[in-house]
Amino acid sequence: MKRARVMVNGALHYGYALGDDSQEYDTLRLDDGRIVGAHEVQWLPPLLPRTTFALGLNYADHARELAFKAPDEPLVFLKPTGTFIGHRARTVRPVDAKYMHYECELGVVIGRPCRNVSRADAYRYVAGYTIGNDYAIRDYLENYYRPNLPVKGRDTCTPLGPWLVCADQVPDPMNLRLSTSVNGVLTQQGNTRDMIFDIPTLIAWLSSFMTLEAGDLILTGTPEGLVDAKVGDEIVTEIEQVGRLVNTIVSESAYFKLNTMQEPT
Amino acid sequence: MDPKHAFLALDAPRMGLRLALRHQPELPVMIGTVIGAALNDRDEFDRLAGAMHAAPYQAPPQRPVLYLKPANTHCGHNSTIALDPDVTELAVSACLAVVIGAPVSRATPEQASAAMLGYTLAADLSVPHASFYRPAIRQKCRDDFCPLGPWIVPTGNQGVPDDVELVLTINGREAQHSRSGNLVRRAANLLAEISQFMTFAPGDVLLVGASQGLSRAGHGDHIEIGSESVGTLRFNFSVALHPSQQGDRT
Repeated sequence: MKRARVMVNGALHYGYALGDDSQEYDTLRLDDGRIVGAHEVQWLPPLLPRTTFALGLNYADHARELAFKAPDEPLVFLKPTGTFIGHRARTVRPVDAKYMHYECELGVVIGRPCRNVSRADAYRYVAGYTIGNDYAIRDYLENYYRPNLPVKGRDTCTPLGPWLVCADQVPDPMNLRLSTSVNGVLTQQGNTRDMIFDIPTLIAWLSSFMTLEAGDLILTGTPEGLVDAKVGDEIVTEIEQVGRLVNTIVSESAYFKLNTMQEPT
Repeated sequence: MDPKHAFLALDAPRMGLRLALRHQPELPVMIGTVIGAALNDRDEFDRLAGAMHAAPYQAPPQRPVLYLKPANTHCGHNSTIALDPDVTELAVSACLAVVIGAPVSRATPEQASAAMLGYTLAADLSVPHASFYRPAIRQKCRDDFCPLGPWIVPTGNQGVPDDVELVLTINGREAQHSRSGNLVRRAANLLAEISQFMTFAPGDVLLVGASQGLSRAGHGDHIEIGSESVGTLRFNFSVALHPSQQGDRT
């Protein structure tokens, strides 16, 4: 089951992917049976995460790329809820940003509460998987609670989706190809098997000191291949068996123009 | 899990801490994102100032130093907080907690102030740690590590007062006296500045005026945070009875 949350005709629906063979789907079946084209719907994030954990430096090649040695314990930071947007939405590039990069990440969605889970049992608590594009604005990095919220917690800066893919459809989540392309040119490639801390280790580690709940999301980090994302770029983050998430970069002025037009003159 | 029911728990209505307005128990507010500002107390900032030009910090912070207290940390007045046996000592920081009543995005300090619904008390609990370099998830995000309450005092026309006195007592003995007025950024300025990049929703909470976490507590201790304008937030610590219990928490 691949399930999306979509707006159709002024109402929120679950939309299910028809067919399982390709990464992007042309048509969806809504919960009321209607068949709609993928371009007729507005895509929302496939879930509203409760607590979102994101991993920094969780691929050895990426840690090298950023000139860091791999950490001895997971480098986890939290993301606020307002940062998420759906498939085919627009992400704002701040006007003063000089280096803003995408990060293609496998998202692990917790399906039921757990505490003190062993690595061996960890997958029992996973409901499914999605894709997160965890944009960073590196200009705003400061060495306090790094990566700090102005870098990683911004409105519109975490596209999520298109689908929540049921765990049983992803039998080996630790062996999935990830890739990103910018305007059709492949820029980032990796495989989830190269994570430093794998999914069972992350669930075991987090649940060793806190309770995980249904709806918690773990964004598991990104491999090397970062490129500055410019206004107008179409960024496609793709993970084998999970989907293909499309996003477009928009300037701050273009994004907020609509709002100023609505203000009384 | 049966794949047909894999998303069942995800689709259930979200539970969370509810805090009522003082004198209006019929008006509970569902608490959303709780965000705190570290190094926002002048004394705390000044104490670290000497280290700010050295590694790993390299420079004093130009932006607010923010952290999130996630949903598992939220608990109410009179909570008994079960500590894992490895947590023998806790840093307790008394905070004034501003509760947001309307969406705040790209706001001026005046707009931010107008969006405040009220204020309450909070304790930012953490396993003691000296470094501000990396997000302190393992230290700050344990279950029930952010008690809030006992109720929300509506701001009315006055706004959130700029200088609230907070008294922290441990087992009836005064441990720390602090004021929420000794800030690098006042609540309205802080909220406005953060809202330039992230939107606050009704029920979100901003922790200001923390008492620096200098006080230590442990198993069996009874804690009170008192303020004349709000009241008293009480909680205590016990040892988790089945700390090694694995798996389901349903």
